Amino acid sequence: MKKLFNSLVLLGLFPVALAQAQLSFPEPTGFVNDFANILSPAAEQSIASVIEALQEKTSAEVAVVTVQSLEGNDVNYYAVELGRAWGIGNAERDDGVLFLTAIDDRQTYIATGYGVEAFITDAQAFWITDQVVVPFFRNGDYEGGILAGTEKIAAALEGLEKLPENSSDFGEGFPVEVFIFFVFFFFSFVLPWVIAVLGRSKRWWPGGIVGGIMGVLLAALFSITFFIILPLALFGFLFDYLASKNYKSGKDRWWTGGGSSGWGGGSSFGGGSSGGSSFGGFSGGSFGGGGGGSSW
Amino acid sequence: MKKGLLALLALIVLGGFWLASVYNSLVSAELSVDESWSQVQVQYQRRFDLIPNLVETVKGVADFERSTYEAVTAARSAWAQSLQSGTRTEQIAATNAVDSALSRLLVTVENYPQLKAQENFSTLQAQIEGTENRIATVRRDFNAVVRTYNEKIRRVPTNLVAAVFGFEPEAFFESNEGAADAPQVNFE
Repeated sequence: MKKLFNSLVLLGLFPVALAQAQLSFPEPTGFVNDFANILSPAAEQSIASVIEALQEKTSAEVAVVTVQSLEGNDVNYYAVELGRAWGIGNAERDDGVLFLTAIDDRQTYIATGYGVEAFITDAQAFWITDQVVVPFFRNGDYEGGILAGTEKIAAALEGLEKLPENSSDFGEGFPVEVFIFFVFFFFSFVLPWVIAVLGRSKRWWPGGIVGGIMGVLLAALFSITFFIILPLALFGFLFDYLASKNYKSGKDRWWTGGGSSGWGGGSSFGGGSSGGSSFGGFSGGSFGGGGGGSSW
Repeated sequence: MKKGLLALLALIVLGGFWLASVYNSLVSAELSVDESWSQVQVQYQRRFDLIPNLVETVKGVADFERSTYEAVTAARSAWAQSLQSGTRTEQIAATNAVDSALSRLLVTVENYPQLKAQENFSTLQAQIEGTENRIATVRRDFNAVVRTYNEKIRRVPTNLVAAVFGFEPEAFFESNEGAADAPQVNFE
């Protein structure tokens, strides 16, 4: 009965899910992202300097974005998805603000992260757009409106405390370079040793056991599907069979020698990871849907 | 014979590890769903806390139909009740009921320009719209977590463990039919 209910419920959900288009966003180019090309470089610079001063003082991140069209999406939905995609704000405090203006839809919206709520409530965000920004827009003055709105946002966030410098230096998860290092270490040192141990015994099923254990560990630690146990166990059997066979004929030193020299000459891993972009990106904050906006 | 026994033992130990890690991952997926659900309730709490204020404001208008705001107040009590003693499915139904009643109230308010002109009303409406957006976001997040969990308990071979330990599929937070027509705040 419950399953029937659930499938009916699931069907009911689909129309809503499909109605929102899958969104993809361009990369941020800085604090000010004028995708609709309505701001002069001078205006962009003055807006950016307001935001930079705020970030310097409080660590909070404000992004100003203009787009030509929302492509049929709700302005709130678009803003939240964009804010999350770019990770505006600091991850531990969610102190990001996204000030979005959509030209064709004639809507402007201020999305706030959870950490900012106490400083800019939904009603206040609405007030900033309605009372400060929109009057400029009605006169055709986009630059003035966005600058005034940004100044109000910065003024509201003044009270935030600056976060300590080293807060989020290591990004989420495992750095790729360390992982590659471990793989090479495994092949250069661990593997020849394993070969020697397994090769010494005539039996070849311990290899399968080792393969199976590795499969379980990999699946449990790295969330690889449990089906990996089977091929790894088979691989283990085969491996041990070959190792035992070759050990008998006295070739184990060839294995160890070949292993070290083969993999020991690994190249250096190069310098920094990212390419040539000058803007380092935002700090991984998230958005909960709060904020306010209005149209003109 | 001894080697065979050893192999069997190793297999049992492996099986045990596998079982434990699958069970643990199901537990943590289920906990994610519960956690996400409580976030949903937090946002609804916030929204429904605006109701008394809203009701007071509309009561002040002489000819405002009583049944409309009384329905909201009643639905809200029923919802608070379901939080105490209802199943997840019942809570979803109760939440939708309050939301429907509230939407009807807000639609009715549109017909009273003198109400909209009141000083505090635009603030109240901005707050209400804010909660609508927050709720939409948190419901999307909840449904995403439920989808992950439901998929997990249906996949082979995890579904065997799930069946043994009684992990049931969770209900999605289905959309309210009236939600698509939520009143837009227009300020001329």
